[in-house]
Amino acid sequence: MKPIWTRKEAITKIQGTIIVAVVVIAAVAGGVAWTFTTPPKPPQVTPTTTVAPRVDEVRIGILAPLTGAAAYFGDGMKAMSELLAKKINDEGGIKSLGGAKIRIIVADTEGKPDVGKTQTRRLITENKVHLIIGALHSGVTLPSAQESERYGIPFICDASSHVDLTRQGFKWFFRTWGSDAIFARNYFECMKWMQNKTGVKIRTVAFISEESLFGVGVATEWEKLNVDPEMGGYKLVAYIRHPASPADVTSEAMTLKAANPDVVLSVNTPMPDAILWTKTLKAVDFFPKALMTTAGFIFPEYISSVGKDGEYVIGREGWSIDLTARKPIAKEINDWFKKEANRDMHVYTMQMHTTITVARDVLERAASVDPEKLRQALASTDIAGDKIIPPWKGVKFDNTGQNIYANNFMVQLTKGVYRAVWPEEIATVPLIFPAPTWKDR
Amino acid sequence: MQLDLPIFLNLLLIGLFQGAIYSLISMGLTLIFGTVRIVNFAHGDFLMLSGYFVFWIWAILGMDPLLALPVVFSALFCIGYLTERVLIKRVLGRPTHIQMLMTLGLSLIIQNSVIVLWKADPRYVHTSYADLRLEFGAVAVPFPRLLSFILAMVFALTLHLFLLKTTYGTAIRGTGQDQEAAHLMGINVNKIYSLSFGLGISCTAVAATLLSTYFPLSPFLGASFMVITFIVIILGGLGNYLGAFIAGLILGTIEVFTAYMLSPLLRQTVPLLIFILVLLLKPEGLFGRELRR
Repeated sequence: MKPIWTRKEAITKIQGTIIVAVVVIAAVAGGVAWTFTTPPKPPQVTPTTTVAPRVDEVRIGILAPLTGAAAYFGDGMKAMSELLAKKINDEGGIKSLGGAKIRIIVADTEGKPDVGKTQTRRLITENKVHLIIGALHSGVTLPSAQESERYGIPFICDASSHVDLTRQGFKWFFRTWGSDAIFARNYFECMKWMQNKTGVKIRTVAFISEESLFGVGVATEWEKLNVDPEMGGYKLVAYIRHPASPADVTSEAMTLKAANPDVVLSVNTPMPDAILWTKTLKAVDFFPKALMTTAGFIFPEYISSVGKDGEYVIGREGWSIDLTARKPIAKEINDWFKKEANRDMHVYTMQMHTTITVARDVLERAASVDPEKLRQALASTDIAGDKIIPPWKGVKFDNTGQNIYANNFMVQLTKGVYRAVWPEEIATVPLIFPAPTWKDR
Repeated sequence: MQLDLPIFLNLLLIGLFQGAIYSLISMGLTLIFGTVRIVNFAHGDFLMLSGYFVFWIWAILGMDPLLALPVVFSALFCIGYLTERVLIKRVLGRPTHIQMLMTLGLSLIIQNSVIVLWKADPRYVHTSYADLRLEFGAVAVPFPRLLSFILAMVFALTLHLFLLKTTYGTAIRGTGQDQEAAHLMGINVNKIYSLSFGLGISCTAVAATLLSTYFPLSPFLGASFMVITFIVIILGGLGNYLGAFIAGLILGTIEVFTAYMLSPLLRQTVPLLIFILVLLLKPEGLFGRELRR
């Protein structure tokens, strides 16, 4: 048999020429595109001793998902950032910079990592922003922060919780929000408090986790904390890992019932999974002394779907309307935002407020828009708790850029509403522990 | 995990209940494949769409899902019939990848239309009997599940009798066996295609109605059921609706026992392993006749 290229039907001369031409054109075009799209070498930041030029405006780039599945959250972030900048400007701008005004430039990440990265580069090279805030999704924040790191522009992360973000050795990255590791601790801290408060001992626990980056990440942190006798030390009687969106969880619920743990910690992101778990636990007639959850369980649609079967479920939260009853600033900002934006606050608008408050403080203290001065000011941030909405001691960054005071609080579904129950300082109703069994309700 | 008799019986029942739902969905899919010779990748989305019909009838008119069943069944039959008439007909006899693109495209369109129209929020139908539990000694079964099992059996039997005893049923089976011969016998094959597609889709209406009494609805509902459905129809022998019925019950039971005895993570792995073994040892499926050319 003749080799394939000599056979008539394999490739004709014309076809061959076309293929060669296409390859050559592609190579040339690729080269040109690479030359034009590869970012210039990041500017070397050298400490400057000369007098800084007068600053008229401070540009803050906001990375938020304005389209895609999380657009609802992005819209709130955009509204809060723009309204807050206007408020600061109306109050006289950044005083240490001679009243320089804050200009917010919002870039849509679409919730996609590659778009976030491109938008970060655009904000830095075209809009010449001095600070970047973003980007909600951990998966978007990581490449965006890497880009910001390359150019040496401070990046303040407002709401991404993945543990790895502060484990990259970033120099320009600061996170006002907590990490999944911090939030995992909150469950164990709350469990300890629950026992002291009620005198009811917790001896056994069980974990339920979906197979996702988030689910496994959180459950792994729980596992680590549970083997630490100081934090946990409970007997882990069941560890149920299942794929997200299962068609049925009855056998899983039966496993749980057979193991009969005192407390069940669950991480299920999709709301249908949370509903299915709640309904199935009822179908097999099992409810632990405390069912502590996150994600899928804390959305309003979950509550309306499960109705009274959701009572006594405990959730982890960063924002609750109950905060307005406990912190004056929470009430002030919530009322102001509702009036100005005609919409309710959510955890991400709250965090946008926290983060811009940090940015304002940093600009005032740095009295400059020089990136290195801003970075130094960020590193020495120490904001008191009464300046921000979340019930924290304040904002102060460790050497990884993590806010050491960030944490979440626990809410419990009480008469159809999630009410704050822990920590005690912000609780509006007492925690019900142990929860009654299905038969006793 | 330890396994005593009550737990064994409980798992067996739950497995059969779950399997009955798989059976219903699969019977529709295999009926379509057996007659129209097209793999309907949008089957799970028709299931989801049926679920939403049930939900809206319940939410707006306050009608119990089981009472709404005839309405949803008829609606889905019409939708299926028209889908075949307007869309599927155009790709019949064309290469497989074109047929796949058509049904996959249809799946995307249905799913995204539902998201646009009714948002991605989950929905739940509340019935008066949702929380009932029947206890037989140490064995306790949730009533909605038992009810849906019984109704699934009744429907499967009705479908079987329809296909076996009626003229249309005979025509559907005849077309499935040999289109050309059916054509020569004076059967309007095109009409039978539309009819079978409609009937296959309305099987999802029954499954969705029964599911809705205990399962949350969302636009992504189909995905939770489709992998297992494809395993079921191949195990049952492609195009063999009785095979699919039995394979559904078997796989449902295996799944439940796997999740309890081994790990929930292996829920789908064990059925897939069995599937591979069957393909290796008996490629025509457990209940399939020898492959025809």
